[in-house]
Amino acid sequence: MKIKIFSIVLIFIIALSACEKLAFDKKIDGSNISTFNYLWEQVGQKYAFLEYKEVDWDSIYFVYRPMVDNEISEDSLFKVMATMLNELKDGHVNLISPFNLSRYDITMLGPVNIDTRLIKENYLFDDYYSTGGFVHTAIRNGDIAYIRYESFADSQITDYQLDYLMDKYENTKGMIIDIRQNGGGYVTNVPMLLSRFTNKDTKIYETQIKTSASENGFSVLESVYVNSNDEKKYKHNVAVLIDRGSYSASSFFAVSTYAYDNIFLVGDYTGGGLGLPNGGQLPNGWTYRFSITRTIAVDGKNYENGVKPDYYVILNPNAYNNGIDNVIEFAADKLLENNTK
Amino acid sequence: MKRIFLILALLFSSLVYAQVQENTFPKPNGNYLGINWGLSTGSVRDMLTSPLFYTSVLIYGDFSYFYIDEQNIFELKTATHNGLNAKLISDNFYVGFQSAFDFKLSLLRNVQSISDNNLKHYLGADIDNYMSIRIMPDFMNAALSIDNVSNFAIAYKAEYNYHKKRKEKNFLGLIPYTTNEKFYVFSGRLSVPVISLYARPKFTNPESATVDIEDPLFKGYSLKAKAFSGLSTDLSVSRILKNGNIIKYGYAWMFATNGKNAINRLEFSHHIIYIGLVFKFN
Repeated sequence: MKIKIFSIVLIFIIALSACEKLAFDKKIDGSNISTFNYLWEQVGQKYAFLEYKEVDWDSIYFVYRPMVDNEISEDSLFKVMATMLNELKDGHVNLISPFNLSRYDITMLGPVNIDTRLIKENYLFDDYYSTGGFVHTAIRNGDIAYIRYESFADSQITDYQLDYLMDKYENTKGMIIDIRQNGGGYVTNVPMLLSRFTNKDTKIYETQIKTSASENGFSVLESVYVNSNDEKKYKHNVAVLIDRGSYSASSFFAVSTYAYDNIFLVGDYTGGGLGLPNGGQLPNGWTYRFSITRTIAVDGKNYENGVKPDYYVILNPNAYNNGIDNVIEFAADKLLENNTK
Repeated sequence: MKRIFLILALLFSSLVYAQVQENTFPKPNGNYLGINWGLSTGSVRDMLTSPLFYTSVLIYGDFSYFYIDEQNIFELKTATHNGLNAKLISDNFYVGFQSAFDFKLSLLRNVQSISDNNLKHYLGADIDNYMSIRIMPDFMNAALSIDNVSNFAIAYKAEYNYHKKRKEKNFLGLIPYTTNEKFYVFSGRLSVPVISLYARPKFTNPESATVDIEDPLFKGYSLKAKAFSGLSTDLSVSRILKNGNIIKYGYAWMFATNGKNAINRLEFSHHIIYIGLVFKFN
């Protein structure tokens, strides 16, 4: 009798172990239609700039959904979904399959406002310094520090590198930080670099996350500050050179300069990318990413379509043919002019 | 001569002791430390980032303290599962990493009215905290997921004592031998979380572009209470050695879900096969 009772208990417990599938929700099938619908829903719920960019995502569905059925090839499905995503005109949007990666090339929205060869031949020459991700030299008879920063992604900026730059250019009359065609990288490098241009806590922007499909479905705004520290500071004005290729972390850097009286922007609009991308997976296994945060500048505006320069200067072909980067020259003139005031 | 006498006396006394124990089932009593190792497999689906069920293949280990007396079993257990979550789709392999940490406090009390010496029923409660950390590099900024589930559960346990007695046998009818006396405890345990508290991101959080990662990461979390959101079972066979220590073989299973209607649904399960040692220390 005891064994019977115990056996019944055991059988009951074992039977419960089989009910996990009942408790879990059903699987989402990996068919083409299911995959398409899932991506469309995810963007509709989580993409941060549908309203800002005035994208009617519902109508997009009716344009692209008829192009998908469960019989079309993977390649065709990819093309339809990638084209749909590119309606968002966002460099942070990608569809990733084992055979392709879709992208929206933001740099094509404006001219490449830099020629790196020209800078190398006529500004950096052969004796430039390379300190971490910074390539730098002094121009205009040593009065202006020129620092080219090609990527925020190369490595984390260190205090040692910044100390070196501050020491080396302490006696210059102005500094140019050139982030043209800098496609971004670590956002944490932005306050690190900016901390050398202020002695006080400075609010540089606010950020919030998309939390639901509704127009106002965002989390509470979080203020981002550059905190004051005892590290060595640069005491003169700074010009930051930007263009459409200045994207993501570069745009964060550019928009943050709005909080500084001693920093101004020269060049073309940036490419934007002021939303941080979220990664995720689709029912067929492909992955995607798109922006789910938005950034509000200190002036209360959203510059996702590009941070506006204080001085709009485009590379002049005539100057270029004479070996002159007129964007650098403009910035240098402005710095020296401010310095003599 | 005295030494030889002493050795013989000790030997004799231990034999006497063994004989006394032969027909008495040793009652676990006192303080014990246990350690289990095993393999854990299961499923996990985090709808925050993927609609797919991943298969978990994890190494399992736990460390526990028990206090057992006539009426109660008190247990304090910390467990960890570490390994991979993987999904194979059309020859493409998606792999992530998972570490889970489980902390459990449990008190069971013997229900004497329906128990006897061989079959014992226990009822009690568990307080349990389960934390899962998953890393899925393919999800880029959303690669890191941290979830925490705290449970208050009612628990039931049944134990059946089986005494395999010493027997005289013949191998092929020619060679006589004696089988050893062995003591086994067959055990089944069921734990039903009455109320669970899920700490889970309200939305996917790619660090929010702020400088301090910890700050936005946990600000995006919400707490949601859910009743009867999972289940856990444990089936084991324990062999009680003469010195009071225990060798244990078992299968444990648990699952949890924050509900079919949750926007960011989380569903996971673990099936664990383990072997363990339990040491009596006083």
